[in-house]
Amino acid sequence: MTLIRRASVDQHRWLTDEEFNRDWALCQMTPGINLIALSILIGRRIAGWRGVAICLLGLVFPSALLTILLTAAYVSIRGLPAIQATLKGLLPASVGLGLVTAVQMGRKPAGDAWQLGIWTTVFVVFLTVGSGALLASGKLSVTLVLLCAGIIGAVENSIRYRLSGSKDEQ
Amino acid sequence: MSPFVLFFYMCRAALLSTGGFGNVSSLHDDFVGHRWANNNQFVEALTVGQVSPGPNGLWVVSLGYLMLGAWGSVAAMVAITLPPFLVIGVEKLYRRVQHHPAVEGFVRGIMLAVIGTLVTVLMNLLNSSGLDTLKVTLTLLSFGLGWLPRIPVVAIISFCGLVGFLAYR
Repeated sequence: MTLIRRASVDQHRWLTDEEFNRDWALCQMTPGINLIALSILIGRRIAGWRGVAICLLGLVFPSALLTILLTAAYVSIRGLPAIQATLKGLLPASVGLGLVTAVQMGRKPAGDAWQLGIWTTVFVVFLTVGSGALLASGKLSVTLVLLCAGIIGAVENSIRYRLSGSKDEQ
Repeated sequence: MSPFVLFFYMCRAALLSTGGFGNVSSLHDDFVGHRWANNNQFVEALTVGQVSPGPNGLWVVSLGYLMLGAWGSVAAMVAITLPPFLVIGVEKLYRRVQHHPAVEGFVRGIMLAVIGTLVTVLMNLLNSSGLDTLKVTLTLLSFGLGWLPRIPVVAIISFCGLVGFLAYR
């Protein structure tokens, strides 16, 4: 992300700082990999659909190819006992780094909620921990947990807007 | 299982999440639930995804390969490239309903649930091969080191792999 920003804003001036920030915010709301969405927006702005195609080819193809090669190389040696032992060490590394990602994803919504007050903060924590616990209990599938959380979030936000709106009118 | 089925599930998982690892919990639910993949393959794919360059979200390309070979990885690559195209629609919609409370709340609710379920799945993965002190220590260590921008991810993964090799061989 930092590299893309440097190239498209600072070096080539394809878009302004503000445009980049807005684009990035939109990408974070879009399903799927944010960087792919970003390169679609930037590519489209510079050169239309041809720009999109070239940006995607540059971003996805080389990395995906390397990923496939790495996996293939791994598959050819996975049977060795040494590799199995190594894998047991890799598992905690993946989990630890995955947890870093989880916290990083949570920092922005948690910070926003904190500014909105204690009730919103409690709600945000409750929704996050609650969905994790609900999944752990095995009663709902992930898809359903996500949709439920979305609906609860929509209701809470609407109510909060209405309440703060009526306060402003008084 | 055919590459088309893989494509469908991966597309669905990407549509319901944002970011590269947001789809881990949905896919884990679908694939391990149907016994199309096992926990090991998930760990392997996540590790390869973190080691290889480019967006971390490409870990599904590795998962596709582990499950169905070359066609699986192609299906995965297409499946994760398509959903981000919705950004064009999001951009148009954004101009119209910029701050509609319900939409904003819905998106945030899903985002929070993605984080919560991700943590649950990670804990399940850690649990799946038997828990011991070393694994817990390595997890905490990688979690701590993962915050330092100076230490490359590859270094953390290599170190843990080496410790695993020495301890479990």
